[in-house]
Amino acid sequence: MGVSICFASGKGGVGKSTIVANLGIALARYKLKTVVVDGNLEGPSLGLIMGIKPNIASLHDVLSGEIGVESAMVKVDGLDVVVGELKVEGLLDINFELFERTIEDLEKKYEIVIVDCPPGLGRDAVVAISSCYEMVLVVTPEITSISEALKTIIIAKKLGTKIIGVIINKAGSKYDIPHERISDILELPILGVLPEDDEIKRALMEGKPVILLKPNSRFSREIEEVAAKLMERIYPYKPIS
Amino acid sequence: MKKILVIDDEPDIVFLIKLILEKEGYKVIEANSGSEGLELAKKEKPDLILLDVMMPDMLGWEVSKKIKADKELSKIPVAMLTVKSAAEDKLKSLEEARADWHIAKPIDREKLLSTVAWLLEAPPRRV
Ligand SMILES: Nc1ncnc2c1ncn2[C@@H]1O[C@H](COP(=O)(O)OP(=O)(O)O)[C@@H](O)[C@H]1O
Ligand SMILES: [Mg+2]
Repeated sequence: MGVSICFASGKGGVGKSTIVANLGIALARYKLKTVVVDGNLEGPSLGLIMGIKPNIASLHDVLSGEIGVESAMVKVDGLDVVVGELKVEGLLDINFELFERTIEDLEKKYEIVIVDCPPGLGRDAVVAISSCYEMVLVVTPEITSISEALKTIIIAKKLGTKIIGVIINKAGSKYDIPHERISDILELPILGVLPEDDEIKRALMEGKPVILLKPNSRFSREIEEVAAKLMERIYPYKPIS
Repeated sequence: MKKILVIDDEPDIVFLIKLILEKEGYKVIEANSGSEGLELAKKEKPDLILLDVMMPDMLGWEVSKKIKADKELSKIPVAMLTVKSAAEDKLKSLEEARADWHIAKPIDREKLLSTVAWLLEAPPRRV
């Protein structure tokens, strides 16, 4: 039985999808059987970030009951990915109840299931959060992001999803809220601090995750450290190859 | 010398905060109720306000709201300093009460000092 972890933030645009895409690749490289799922049903972006061509089977097809989740797998650099449907009409046929079952199915086949959560705390976010055992919070070092993170913590507690830590993204400005203060107020350990990096926008334009495009950048190295931490939690005995 | 206003109805807590802050070279002024705190803030224009929540005359959150609604005071950073430290309370501090930060009691000297230094230097909002 694998573990499912959703990456949530409350606030949009903090970097969840970017982190999930790159972290997924890093985890797969550590030979952990990993799948990432685009749980942002209204605004999927994993496909775009990872350069997966559109018009393939998606999570929407799974959630409308058309296909099994194994038929919606795409491979990117050794990582299994379930993308979302870019056409909005796809939203009409979704049966939210299938979400939890889909994650359960994946937990049986993978060691780690990573779910990219939608922004906000609407129905889609709640379904994604409640379907996962654990959560990683993603924030930017700004007050608005901290408020949204607190809301997410409140919801996660109610839904029984355990929050294992926080990742601070787009860090490095002198106006950053000090990272220890963020850890304090959220009462969470910091799993990683990722710098603001322009290469990430170029990577998006090229449809190639930055960990592949610029493996030696600080962002990529930090992602690898986060992956190592998750790996250690899940699998304390498996050597990192 | 930076001036810090501590508003808390419990003399023991005020004494402890004062001890910690004065030793670091801050000037500390104190008020023991919300209304007294508001008056003192207007008169003294401190550089930072540390604000308890549970006070008999007025909740600290109300005091913060009043400070942030007052043109002359709104730029002074406010940190709630309280035992009420569920995520819901922290959210209330940051959003509804418009405070700049939320520090949980019991007081941890190191955390208090680094938070105070940060809020004096670069508060997270400037409106
Ligand atoms: N560390 C970073 N440095 C610079 N830009 C970033 C960083 N992380 C994310 N971005 C950019 O910020 C935007 C939002 O990121 P995204 O991953 O889509 O956020 P979310 O999934 O939380 O909405 C994108 O344009 C992305 O390229
Ligand atoms: Mg996203």
